[in-house]
Amino acid sequence: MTRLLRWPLFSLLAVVCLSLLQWAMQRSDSHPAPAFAMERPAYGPATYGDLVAVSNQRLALSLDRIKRTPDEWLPHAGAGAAALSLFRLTGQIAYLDMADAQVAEVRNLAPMPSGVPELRAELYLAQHDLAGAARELDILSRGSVPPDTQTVSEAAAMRGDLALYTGNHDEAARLYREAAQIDSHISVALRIANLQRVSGAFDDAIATLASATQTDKHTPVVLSGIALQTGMIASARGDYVTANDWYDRAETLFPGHWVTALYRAEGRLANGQTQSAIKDLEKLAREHARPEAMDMLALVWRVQGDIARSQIWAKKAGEIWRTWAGRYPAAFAAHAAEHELVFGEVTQALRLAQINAKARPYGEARLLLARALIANDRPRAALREIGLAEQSGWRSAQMFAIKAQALTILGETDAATAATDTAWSINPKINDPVTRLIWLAHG
Amino acid sequence: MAWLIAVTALTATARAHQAPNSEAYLDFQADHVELEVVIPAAEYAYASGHRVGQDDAAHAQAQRYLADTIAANGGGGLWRTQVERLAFITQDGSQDLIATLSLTPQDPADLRDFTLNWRAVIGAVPDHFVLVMLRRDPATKLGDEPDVIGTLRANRTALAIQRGAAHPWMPFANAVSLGAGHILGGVDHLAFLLALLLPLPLIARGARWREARGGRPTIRSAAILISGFTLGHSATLLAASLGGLTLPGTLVEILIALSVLIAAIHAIRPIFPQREALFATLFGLVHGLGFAGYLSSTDLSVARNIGTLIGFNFGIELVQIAIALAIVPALVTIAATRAYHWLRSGLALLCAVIAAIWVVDRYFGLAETFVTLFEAVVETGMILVFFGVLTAGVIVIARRTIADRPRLV
Repeated sequence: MTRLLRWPLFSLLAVVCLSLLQWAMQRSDSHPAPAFAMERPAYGPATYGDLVAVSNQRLALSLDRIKRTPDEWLPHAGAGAAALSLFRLTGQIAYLDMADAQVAEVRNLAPMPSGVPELRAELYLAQHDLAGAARELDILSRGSVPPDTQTVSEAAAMRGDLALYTGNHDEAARLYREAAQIDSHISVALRIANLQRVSGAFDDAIATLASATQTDKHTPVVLSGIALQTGMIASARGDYVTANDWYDRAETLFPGHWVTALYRAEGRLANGQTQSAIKDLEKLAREHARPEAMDMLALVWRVQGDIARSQIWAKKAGEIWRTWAGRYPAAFAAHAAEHELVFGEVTQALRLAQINAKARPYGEARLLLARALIANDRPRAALREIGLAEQSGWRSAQMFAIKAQALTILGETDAATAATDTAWSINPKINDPVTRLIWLAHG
Repeated sequence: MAWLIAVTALTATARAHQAPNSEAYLDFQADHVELEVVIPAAEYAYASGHRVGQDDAAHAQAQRYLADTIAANGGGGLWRTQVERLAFITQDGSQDLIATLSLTPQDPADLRDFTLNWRAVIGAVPDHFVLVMLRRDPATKLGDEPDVIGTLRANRTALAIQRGAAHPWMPFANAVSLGAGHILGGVDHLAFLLALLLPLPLIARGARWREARGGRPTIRSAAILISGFTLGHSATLLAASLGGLTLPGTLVEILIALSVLIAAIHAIRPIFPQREALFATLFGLVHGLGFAGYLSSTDLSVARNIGTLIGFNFGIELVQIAIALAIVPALVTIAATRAYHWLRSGLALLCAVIAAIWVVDRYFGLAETFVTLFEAVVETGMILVFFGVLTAGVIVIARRTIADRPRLV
């Protein structure tokens, strides 16, 4: 008996040894969690309200200077920069109009090649006009007076943004590294972390963010942005509890920002705190008229099966997105396409998704286009877009989930299962019902 | 400051979820098409404005909604649509409306190509689609692995369902596959077979299993035993399916579990030595009723036709013979060693415990979570047992070959 069982026992022993070895390797592989230095500093605007006030003062000052010297281009550039900052801070399209007008005035008044091409590049980037931004960065590089180090670094970083939005992750990484070598600024670190996140290198992205908090002291708004990004990484991994914690931390560090409030509401939805999230979203819709909040409300009510409430919010959001997409088609096509896809017309969604992907042919835009193509019964074309996103280096659970859906429709069940498994390995909650409610930080 | 806000803004673009889709599975029966629909409950509630609930009123509303929004037409006109079963089922945290509809043509001869018309949910939710799959068509398709036929969505609410070319041998092949699949998945039948085969290589003397009796008589006994079992279950399967012989399903299931228990006890201590074939034939009658019950609950088209019934039976036999061919030589080989006593007793005891739990569950009903886990463990365990016995047989043969090899001096 003992002799007979010898070989099975040896096999069992071998399995135990292998398991121990794997456990030991896992232990040695698991690095300690990166440490964040997130102490709230005493300087810099402490709240969203404070920062808006400071930015408004800056804008008012520039407008005052314009009144005094209307033929000088520099005050117009100041006003344009302040308006662009306010647009990004408040999300109000009127500031984008103002920035556009002021930059146009600079172009009229300043002799070429002077006239802050870096600001024009920044404006074009905000309008999702990559060719315009590239043109302005070329003008900047040809300037007779060399710009300061920070501007050169920011120009390299913006070229990195252009590479990212054209789906060239390697080139974007190279340019971000170049920008960091010129001037190791926090904005570059945040861009690198963003690139790492969308490339699926979540641990690297967290390490980059943690390291950025330790190298320098940052203002509350910067720390809050870092906390938000860290939460998004947790969310892309399906760790919705940790994501929620980071979103709350972002609010503590820099209270009152509507973007943080959106993410906090999403975090609550993902953690089953539906009523509290609805309350917050209704407040955002009421006080800031944010169409994202309205879309999220429409979705929540749809999932709850309340057609009347869902349609009220969807209608309100749709009106805003249509206005904005009419004014700046490329800049708001993604939001409008997403809205049309979920609440409106799928043919309209496809048209908008195509505008978006043409303007910025990167992973996220291709995934949105893929979803619109699937909704328009073109799964084969959707797979092509997903393939291009995959080739660019884009990695997310959602990408593989969309791929699985297209493959399922085409009847390629084995490949669909493989794609589902990959999606699950990135985010084990990708197929959970709560993941439906992640409107912002899917990755 | 602008760059920071830029970084935040670029990550704040919309990246919404994927909405769950509906699924529709088509099963062709002899005179109608069975359509199983799976619709996410939230989408149903949103699109219909109806409540999701387990009460009769909620079910009646859902039934009306499906009858109003799903239809079929072809051949002689509109087919009769009837909602047969309906429930709201929660699985893995998401709730679905699961229903079975029957789509029946006016004339059974029109059960060929047809158009499926669908408005449920897709009329109200833009990105929602229905994945339509052909699961079973005994005349044109082998097996019941769903094949995607197409999708239905807001801009396409009708889908042409075209049956492939019918092959005369396909129903028989499907029945063989169904029979083979049933015996492979039916752990109680496998346990019965295993428990009966375990003592076959041994001689019973003085109420004890004694020494091995050699390969030839064992194989002959195994052949007679399996023939007896086949005779028994074929008789009742035909009688039940074609002649209408019935016994309460629960009673049949309990008797099957009892047959495993008795066979397992016999494998420990001989109760009916030399009469295993008779026992197998008698309890084969009960197992046949079990097969008939399975057929009536899964595929009536097989049960109503003598040709496909023979095919189903043939599938069962194929698997039984394959298992016996693999396992009996291994048992004969191991029976020559002292270890066989422990192996036989251990496996018989395992079968007895499993059978006892089946008897209790089928009579009294045990907790569902326990039963699910138990069945999963037993299924895996049974596969391991068969492979374990085969491996042990191979090891014994290998050792014997090494021991018999002439040694070089």
